[in-house]
Amino acid sequence: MAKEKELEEKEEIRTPFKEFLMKFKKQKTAIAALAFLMLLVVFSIIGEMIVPYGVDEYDYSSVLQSPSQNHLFGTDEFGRDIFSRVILGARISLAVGLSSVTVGAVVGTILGLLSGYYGGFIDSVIMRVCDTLFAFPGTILAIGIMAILGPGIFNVVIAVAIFSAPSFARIVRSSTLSQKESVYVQAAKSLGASDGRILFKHILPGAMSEIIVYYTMNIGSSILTASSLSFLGMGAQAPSPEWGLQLSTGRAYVGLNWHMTFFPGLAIFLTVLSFNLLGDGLRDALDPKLTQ
Amino acid sequence: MQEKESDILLDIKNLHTYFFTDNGVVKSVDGVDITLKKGSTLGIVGESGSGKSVTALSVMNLLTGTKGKIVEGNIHLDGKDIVNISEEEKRKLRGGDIAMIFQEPMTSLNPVLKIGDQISEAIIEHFKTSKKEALDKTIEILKKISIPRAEKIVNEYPFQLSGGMRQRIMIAMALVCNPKVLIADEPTTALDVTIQAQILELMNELKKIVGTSVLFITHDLGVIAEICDEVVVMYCGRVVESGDVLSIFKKPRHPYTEGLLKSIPKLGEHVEILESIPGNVPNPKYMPKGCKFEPRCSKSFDKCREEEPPFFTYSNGQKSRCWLCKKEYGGEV
Repeated sequence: MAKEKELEEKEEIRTPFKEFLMKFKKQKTAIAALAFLMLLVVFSIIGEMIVPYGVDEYDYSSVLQSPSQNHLFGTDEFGRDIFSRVILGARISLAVGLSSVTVGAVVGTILGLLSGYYGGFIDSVIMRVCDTLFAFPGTILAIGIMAILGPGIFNVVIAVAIFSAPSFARIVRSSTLSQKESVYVQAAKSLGASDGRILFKHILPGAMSEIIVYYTMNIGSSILTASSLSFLGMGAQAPSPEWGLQLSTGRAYVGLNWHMTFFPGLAIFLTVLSFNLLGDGLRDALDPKLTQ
Repeated sequence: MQEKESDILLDIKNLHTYFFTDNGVVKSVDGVDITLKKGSTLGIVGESGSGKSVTALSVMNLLTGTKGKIVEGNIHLDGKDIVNISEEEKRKLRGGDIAMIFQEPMTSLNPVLKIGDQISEAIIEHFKTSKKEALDKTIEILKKISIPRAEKIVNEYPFQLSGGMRQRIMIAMALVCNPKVLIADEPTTALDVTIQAQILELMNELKKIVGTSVLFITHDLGVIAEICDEVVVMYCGRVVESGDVLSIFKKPRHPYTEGLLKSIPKLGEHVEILESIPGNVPNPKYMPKGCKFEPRCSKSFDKCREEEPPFFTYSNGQKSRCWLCKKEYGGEV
């Protein structure tokens, strides 16, 4: 008996979270992506302290300079340092990406839970609205919403949130539908649990891994959409250092001054790629069916 | 056997539960009468599809959201109607006065929640206590049913426990609020024999401590003999025979019960082939006109095909739905 106890204590208890960490550590690309994103987060918090120039530091004696020691990424048509602007632009892109997807995820998750759990009329209404939103290509829909709301970075958040909510609703709905029939939900009901309790305490945790993966992947694409909107002049307005806006102004000089579009474009590319790689890594680590 | 009105705890009268599927109406429970006396254990036996689980779900009011509905009949708990009440009242009843243990212990616990959270959930729901108090009470209950390492187990997840252990946790969950009626839907089917015996013993013990009456659903007559005071045999959504365990095991009056009893292997007897009841449960859409068991019955005669037999009651309280019983009385059939 004593020996048994000893054995038991030696054997480390593998909670789902520890298991996830173990699997996630093996995903080297995802770790690299996470590191890059952490760097971006640091930039967006202490950006002003590390950049050599300010966002609005006009210098008419050095306009449209190629990358050099003074200006790592060169300067733009007003002599502003592109390196500083790219680093300070991270804050806007991250904030827009995170907040819009968070709003979309929360709204979509609640709609998905209600739709899957209650079914019937509620389900039909929610799903038909989602179908309608799905019928538009994402960017076109966002442009449409922006046309109604008017330009501005806050409206970009709303637009992106509106078109990311339906995907979350669908994912959560399908998970809810399958869990609704499970014995543990029946068991919870048989103990007198209320609908709210069943939805948020029993069904939501079961859908969480799918939500997390989709959430991460979706941040990348929503940063892309937000940048596209700014590129089209509907999102951030000058002189904001938003990456899409920088691309847009640089477009006029793209023949001779490649650096004006290259570096903001590279920033968008790396950020979106990192979010996608991180999402892939999370999916592999969270999906119990993908155990090697 | 005259029963006093107050002795009856759960009274199911003329229960009809139908499922309205796309392929037509399935009469899963078709006129069932069951009475559960205070402090006793009643077993419901029958093949798959005989309507025993649906009867349990009807009592639990867990049919909402499915295609099933109670179309007729009454269920009274302690003299109080529990069918025609609001959803909210039904919810309060579940886990409070009536609790249920499910068949598969492997899937009846939520895999992503800690054991402690799942048990204390019911305590918080029904007693409105704080989280801390509920957890303390949970540990106390786990200790009461002699689960080792109770303080540690509350912080573990279901996948870390064995099947027998999970079923014990389920029983603890069902009993935290001292229910008047415990419905056990084949609680030992998915477990191996030694664990089965332990679980049955535990249930018997708890029954004495908590004073719960048990509605025990199973297809295992051995288990019935072990634990039940009375037994109800169901076939095709109907009760075909009922009575106290001893008399039914000694002298079954319905050919179906007889067949069930014959199909149990006996210890110390060498048989090549176990006896079985020929045929299958009829398709609900093509129910025989007369006795539902007639097509599979070896003793059937013309009357069985024409008319469904009513209940015939014996002096010892045993009831059977078979024309043979009338023959025994010397009646003309």
